[in-house]
Amino acid sequence: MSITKVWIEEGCIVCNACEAECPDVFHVTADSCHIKSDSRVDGQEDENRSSKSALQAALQSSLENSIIAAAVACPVNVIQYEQVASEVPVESPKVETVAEVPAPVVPMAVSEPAPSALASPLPEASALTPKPRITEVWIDEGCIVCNACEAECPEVFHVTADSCHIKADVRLDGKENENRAEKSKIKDALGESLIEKIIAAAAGCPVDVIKYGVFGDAPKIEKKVDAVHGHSPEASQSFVWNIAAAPNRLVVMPKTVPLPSLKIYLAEQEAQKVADEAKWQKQLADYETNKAKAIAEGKEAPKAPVRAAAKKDDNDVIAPTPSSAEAPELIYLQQKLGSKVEEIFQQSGELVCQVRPDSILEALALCKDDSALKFEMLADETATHYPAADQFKFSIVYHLTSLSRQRRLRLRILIPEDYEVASAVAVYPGANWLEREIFDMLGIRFTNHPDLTRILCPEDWEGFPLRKEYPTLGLGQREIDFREDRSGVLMRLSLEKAGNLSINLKKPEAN
Amino acid sequence: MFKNEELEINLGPQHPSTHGVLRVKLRLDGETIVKCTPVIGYLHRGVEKICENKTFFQGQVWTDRMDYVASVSNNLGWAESVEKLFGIQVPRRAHYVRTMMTELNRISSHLLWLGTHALDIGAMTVFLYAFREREEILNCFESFCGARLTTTAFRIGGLREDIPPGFIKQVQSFQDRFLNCIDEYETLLTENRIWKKRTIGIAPIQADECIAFGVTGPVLRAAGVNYDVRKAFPYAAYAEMDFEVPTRTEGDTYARYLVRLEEFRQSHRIIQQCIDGLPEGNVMAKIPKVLKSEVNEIYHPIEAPKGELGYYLVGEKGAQNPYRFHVRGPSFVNLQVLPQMTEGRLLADVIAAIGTLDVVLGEVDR
Repeated sequence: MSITKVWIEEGCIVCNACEAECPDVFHVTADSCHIKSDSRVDGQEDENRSSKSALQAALQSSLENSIIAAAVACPVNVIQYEQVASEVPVESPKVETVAEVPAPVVPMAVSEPAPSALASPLPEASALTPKPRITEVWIDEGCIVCNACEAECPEVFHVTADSCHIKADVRLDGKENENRAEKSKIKDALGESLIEKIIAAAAGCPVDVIKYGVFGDAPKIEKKVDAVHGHSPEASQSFVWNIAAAPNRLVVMPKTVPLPSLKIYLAEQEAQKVADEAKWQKQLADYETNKAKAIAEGKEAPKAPVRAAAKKDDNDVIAPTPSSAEAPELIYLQQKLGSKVEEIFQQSGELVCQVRPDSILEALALCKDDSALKFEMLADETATHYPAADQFKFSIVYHLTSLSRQRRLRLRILIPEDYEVASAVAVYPGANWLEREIFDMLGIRFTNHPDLTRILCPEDWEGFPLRKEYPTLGLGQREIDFREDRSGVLMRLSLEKAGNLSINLKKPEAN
Repeated sequence: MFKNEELEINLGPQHPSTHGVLRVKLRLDGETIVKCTPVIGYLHRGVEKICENKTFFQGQVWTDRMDYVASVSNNLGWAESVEKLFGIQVPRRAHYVRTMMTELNRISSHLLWLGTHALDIGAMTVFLYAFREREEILNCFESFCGARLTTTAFRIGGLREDIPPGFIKQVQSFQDRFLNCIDEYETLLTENRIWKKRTIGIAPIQADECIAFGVTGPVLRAAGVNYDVRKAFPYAAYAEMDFEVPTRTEGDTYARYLVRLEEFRQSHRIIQQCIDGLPEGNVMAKIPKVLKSEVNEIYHPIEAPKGELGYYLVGEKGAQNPYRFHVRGPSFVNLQVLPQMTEGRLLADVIAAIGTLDVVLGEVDR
């Protein structure tokens, strides 16, 4: 695949998103956005509005991903492009992560009988026995366009904006978009080499609409364990749910770790500076070579490059950046706790002190009792889930208030999964409910807590709702167990009623 | 002849005096409470999770539905938290209007508390008086933003529109009447012998216990601690306002009643200063159409009618929605001391204790 044309329609809000994604093609000025002249075939600038602008051939495939990313990032969707399939099949970019969903075993349509059991006794004849292969593959009605199959087997499946079909070059008839109704024969060689991938794609389909015919003994591929939710199909059996009815129950996991930190901020600034400098040096070098070339050919020398000034911003926004700690409390804490303090900094006028997780109780007691600190009250305690981080999985923050000195302080610890934090109840009794809420919502356990039970969710709730892998719509409705309902009438009625209300319930199987 | 054993009863979740869906498990020895366990979560809607999946502009609508009696305060907290997260500078006129609206909301929230609390304890009349004035405030809200309860009053960066014509006059006519109204409530209650019998010395809590449990708002101030976020960590236009923080030392239900009545007067003062000193100028800061945050985390507290309402926000770089949103609801934290207030006391006082804590279960459960 490659992109031949890219242009911008009316309605650009000059938000800089496209330039951030693909600075080689897009250029955002004060009042408009256009395609850079050196990436266009006609070499013109500012002409992108109505005409479709052809891209230079060299850029077509190399910048494909970043142009698509820019078009996706555009908040008003005015970036348009034309994409053509090139001769060499290139794996199309995966756009989103898709949750695998446990589902019953795929019904298989076996169209051709397996080879007869009369196997030849001669060893060389076994090599003649045809290998198992997929003879045909098609997609039934009900595709939710979730990209799972294309992620699994991009050679065969192609997911478009509103449908999914079998690619033309794997089909015998060479047609595309024809897979819905008929069973489509596919090329023998591909059916043999891709057998495992196709079966895996069919098994991974959340709505089980991928069907295939198989010749010979198909390899058994287990239904994948739900990587995102961490549930094996057995574990989530208490939930009866149907992804087809609520496809937006799929979860997109965060890819970054938004942990405010002075160290990380400074490192990022430094890296940005180095990258900017390298880009500028390259611009200068390019200019020199172009100039030398132009002089050699007797043409007019190109314009000298101008170092891009920082973008002017007339908004009433001053983005708060982390700065080094100047507040006496932070310096005092670092003196007192020494190496137990991991980081101190200030941001948005708030004091942050990150300590080692095993010394949090000591830090809290110091903050409360020391006459120079006197943070008498624990205003708030809460936690954040960072699934994308390597070294830790949660941060817990303690917001302390000094009533006598009218100051605030945030203590922070970073903990890995399964780490048990010392409960703050011993120092601040008010942490009781706050820590129960953290346990309830994020599943972090506290040692020496007087009553670590769920507080907002019911006692028998499964999962921890504020973890990032928990879908916003919930995991689905649970089976209702009416203990007194011996004949099961009430239960059936309630299930039927729930079905009418289009809650995701399936009828229980008859025993 | 008689058996001697403790009796365990459920108060709620469906009980008119619990002001929502609060369940309190009580173990009784006769009429004395041996153990009191509040059970919450019946109104849990997952506001934090929902707001993490909404843009910053959409999130404010959800804050209305937490403390639905004081939605303007919740809106103010959200707007200021997001502004702090992004570093948005809000025009001074917007600050004044916000302060005025929030103080009106404080009065309306306290009026609802006064009416229902008195009703719980047995004084019927006050309810009708309180709702008469509350109606007028809700009319002001309606002319300001079109809604009476779920206001979504402010926008990130200021106000959506300037105050409507005639609004100041409407608020002023309320202001002119309201001081006399407070006196009316006082004639009905303050020296009322039954009221005093039902409130003095009832459900007491002392300052050290309040601080240990993180209790804020009128409950803390009635125990003698002079802590008000408006004074200690001024926000909106409170730094420019002249007002006092009423405190009492008794720490009982009567003291909390007196503190809240005095807060009526102080709110009245603040509103008058906002009307008189309302500056000219823009009401909306210039902000980008699409707010994309930087990596930052903030905790922004404001003084809601019930106490310190804190929003904790974590911003992810380039994201249009908060990475993490947490509400420190004053009702949630204050409700924690219900056992301390009631254990060893009489069953009938539990109703007074729940009323005097002034919890709204929409905020407790979120």
